[in-house]
Amino acid sequence: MRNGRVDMNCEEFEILGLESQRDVSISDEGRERALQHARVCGRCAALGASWEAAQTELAALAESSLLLHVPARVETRLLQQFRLKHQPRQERRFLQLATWALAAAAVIVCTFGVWDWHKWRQGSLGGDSKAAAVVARDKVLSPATGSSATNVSPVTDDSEILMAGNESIEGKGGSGGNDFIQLPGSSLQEAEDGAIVRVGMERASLAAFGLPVNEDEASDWIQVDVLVGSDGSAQAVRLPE
Amino acid sequence: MKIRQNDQDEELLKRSAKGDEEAFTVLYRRHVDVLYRFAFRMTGSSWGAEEIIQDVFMTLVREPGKYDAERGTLPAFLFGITRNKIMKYHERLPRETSLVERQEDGSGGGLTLRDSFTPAMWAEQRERLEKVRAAVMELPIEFRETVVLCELEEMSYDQAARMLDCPIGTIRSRLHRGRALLLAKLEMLRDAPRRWSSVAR
Repeated sequence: MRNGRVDMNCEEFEILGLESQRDVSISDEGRERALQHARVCGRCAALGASWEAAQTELAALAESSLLLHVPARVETRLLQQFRLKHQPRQERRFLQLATWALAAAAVIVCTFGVWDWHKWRQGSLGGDSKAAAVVARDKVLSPATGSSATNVSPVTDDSEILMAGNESIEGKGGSGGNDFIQLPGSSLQEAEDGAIVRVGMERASLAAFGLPVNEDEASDWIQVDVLVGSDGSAQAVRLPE
Repeated sequence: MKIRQNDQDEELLKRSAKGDEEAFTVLYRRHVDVLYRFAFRMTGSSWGAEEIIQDVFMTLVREPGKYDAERGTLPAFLFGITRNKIMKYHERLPRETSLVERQEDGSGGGLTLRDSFTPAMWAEQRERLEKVRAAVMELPIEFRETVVLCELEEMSYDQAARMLDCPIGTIRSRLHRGRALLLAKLEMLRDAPRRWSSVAR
């Protein structure tokens, strides 16, 4: 002990003394004690000198590798990987957006299409055909017996569908002077939104509607207008000729 | 968005995770050299260090979410990954593999001296550096990394403790023992007697 200070021993010097100049946690007093110990202990002084030499060598080693730089190929490879990871994602996102945009556009187009068609159809029915259907209903005769709607459904190849209100129905004399004959089990309400279908059939088939058939002409082919309801079943028939 | 050199690592990492290549490049260039030097000094192999660095930054590319800013800084996180990769590298290496990398002509590689020594001085200096490097490489890995960070990278104890995620006392203790081992090896190289009492213990 000198001047009230406890001297540093060799073990402490090894732990603290060698780094006393660098370790900021060591107090000035600790540094002074280390120096003092090195002055009086030859072994620790030699150790200190040896460590200084080693530090010089380590510094040379550090300096020699200080200029080491990672080769540029590492950055190139990493950037390639980076692009591989991120570019597909950006493309995927774009494709996703494009798909959604197309789907939305398709939905809008379909909605407008349906709306437009419905509007046009309602407009048509509200005009001529609706009137035709009402006329047909008003002019309907008493229901025939013994035939079902499905029996009049067969539409031959030469049949043509005349939408209610279609101008051609006028041209072909659809409502010329003949009346519709309501079929048994049919409803005129169904017929209001229906269509008139012109079919070709043998006259003998009229018997199925309960109409009288001349046996001499039974094999003749005739044109018959069938009023098909919105549910697809025949509601009434008429003979245009 | 323009990258500024003083942008925070966290900000750059976020942008990099969203696919900003420039942000990734800035981040990479900011940290790669110190990590590469550390890896090189720990492995003694430029190829090994290159592989390790690539793996470290690939982790940032593939799993940027692994970094949690609340647990430490990005350099400490990168150091942690680098250390793990170095451990794995050493586990893969056969124990007898030479720690000194050789050039194709058989001479030692990696170290070049810029000063204009005479050929004899240059050769002597180079040989000495090789020996010092070999001595560092022979240290056990936990001592080696402390010596590399504190003596070669000249980090403070506090910085090294943050990088290695351990108390400063551990750094001091590892450095003391690592230094003792290193000094003993260097003195053996000089054919000098061992004076370090703790090495003998």
